[in-house]
Amino acid sequence: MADQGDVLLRLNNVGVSYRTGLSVFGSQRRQVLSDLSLELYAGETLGVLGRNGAGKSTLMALLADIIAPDEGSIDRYTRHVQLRSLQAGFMQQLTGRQNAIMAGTLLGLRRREVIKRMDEIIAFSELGSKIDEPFRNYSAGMRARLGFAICIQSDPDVLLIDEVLGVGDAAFRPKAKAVITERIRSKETVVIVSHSEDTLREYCDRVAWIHDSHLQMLGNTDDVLEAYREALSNGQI
Amino acid sequence: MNPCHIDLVLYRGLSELRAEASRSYLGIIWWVMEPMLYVGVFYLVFESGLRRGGEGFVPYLLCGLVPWKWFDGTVRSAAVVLSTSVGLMRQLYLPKYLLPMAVAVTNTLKFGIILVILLAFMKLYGYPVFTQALLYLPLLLVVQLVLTLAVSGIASALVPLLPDLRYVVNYGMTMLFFLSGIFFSLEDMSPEAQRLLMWNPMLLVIEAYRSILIDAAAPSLRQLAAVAAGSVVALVLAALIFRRFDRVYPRVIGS
Repeated sequence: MADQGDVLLRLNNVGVSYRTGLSVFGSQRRQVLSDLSLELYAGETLGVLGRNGAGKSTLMALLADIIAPDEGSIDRYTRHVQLRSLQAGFMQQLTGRQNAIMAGTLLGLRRREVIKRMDEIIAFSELGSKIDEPFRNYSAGMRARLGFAICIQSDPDVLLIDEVLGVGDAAFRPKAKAVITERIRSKETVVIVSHSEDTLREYCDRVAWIHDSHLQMLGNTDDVLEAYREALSNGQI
Repeated sequence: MNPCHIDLVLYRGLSELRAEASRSYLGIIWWVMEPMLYVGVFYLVFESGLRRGGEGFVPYLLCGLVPWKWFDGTVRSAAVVLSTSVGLMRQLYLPKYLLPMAVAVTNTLKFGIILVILLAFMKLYGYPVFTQALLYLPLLLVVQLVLTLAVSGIASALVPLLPDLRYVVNYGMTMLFFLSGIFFSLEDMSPEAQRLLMWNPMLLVIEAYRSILIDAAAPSLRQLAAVAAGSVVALVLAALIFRRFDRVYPRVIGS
């Protein structure tokens, strides 16, 4: 585990572009991120702000090491960066328990570790005996609860959260939010993508504002939010 | 290989089999029923006189069809496994070669069951089966597994990069099916044809099954060594492609 304030990830002039089509008759490239430099420090909570299509999800995929940049480079001082994905690789025909084991191994746990923690997963997800029913019979809320309960079993060095903090129904959401809040408040390093200014102000030490595939501004949460709101009201973005 | 990745490959392989079973009323009974019906159909068609095959034609045919099914099923599923798992690979990083390996686990489990049924059928049909030659079977299984992993690996690594290859894989496998000596014996061919057909590794593998199970004789170890050596080279090639494009696949598939 790195010390507070150490650099965990460093993006050096990173750029990502996608092919717009696939054909022998030629295709173009569209720039999704360009010339982006950023350092992520141990223990901080970094917010990511920007309009739809600005490149936030691509940034998260880069941080999670899912894709590699086309330009620039990324220095990694930790390998364990994880997107909080709620339903990674669930199979419809399997039971909740079987899916939990599979998702657990995807998140880097041994099979027997997941089995050992199964009671905890069942309790947290509030599924009870439904854990042995097929996943396809689950409601959307049950699916989200199970995904969340599995997700919090792993303990990455950097946690990436896309958009929503709480999942599930009105009763489950505060519980989910409390767990995430506790992680953010502890020394864990977290990156949150959110459209909600309240969320960003409540949790983040710094905010990166991405606009039109560029890093528009990076700084204290209050400064960035103020500049963002001003640009919005002026119709500049 | 990370230990949790071994768990993942094995569990995912088994889960796929379970998922298939849950799509029918009889469930896991089909794991045994399906291969029995498979053997039964050929027995009925050729032994009841619907079609003339000649003495011992059904065991001869099955010794080719059963190993072929293992190879064919794995390669065809592996060719599309990265595309069908794109949702997963966009949510977290995982070494992509694990996906065709899980496909191989599923198909190997299926093959294990059908192989036991084949051995029982051969015994009932009147072949000795449990001879000294059977000691070569584990070796042959390993060679075929390595060959299957190699071809599946290359297919699964290349198809997402060049989607048009999907058609090549489909027709290539159909062509290979007819060139693997399932319906004919290598000895009946002209020397020139034999020399060409010997380049097909599955033909050599199937010949080896026949010598073990039908002739109760040791297979050609020289041929099996050649298959194994070629497969290892292909496996290394597949590993290199996977390493080069590991973080490219989530971007090129489905976009």
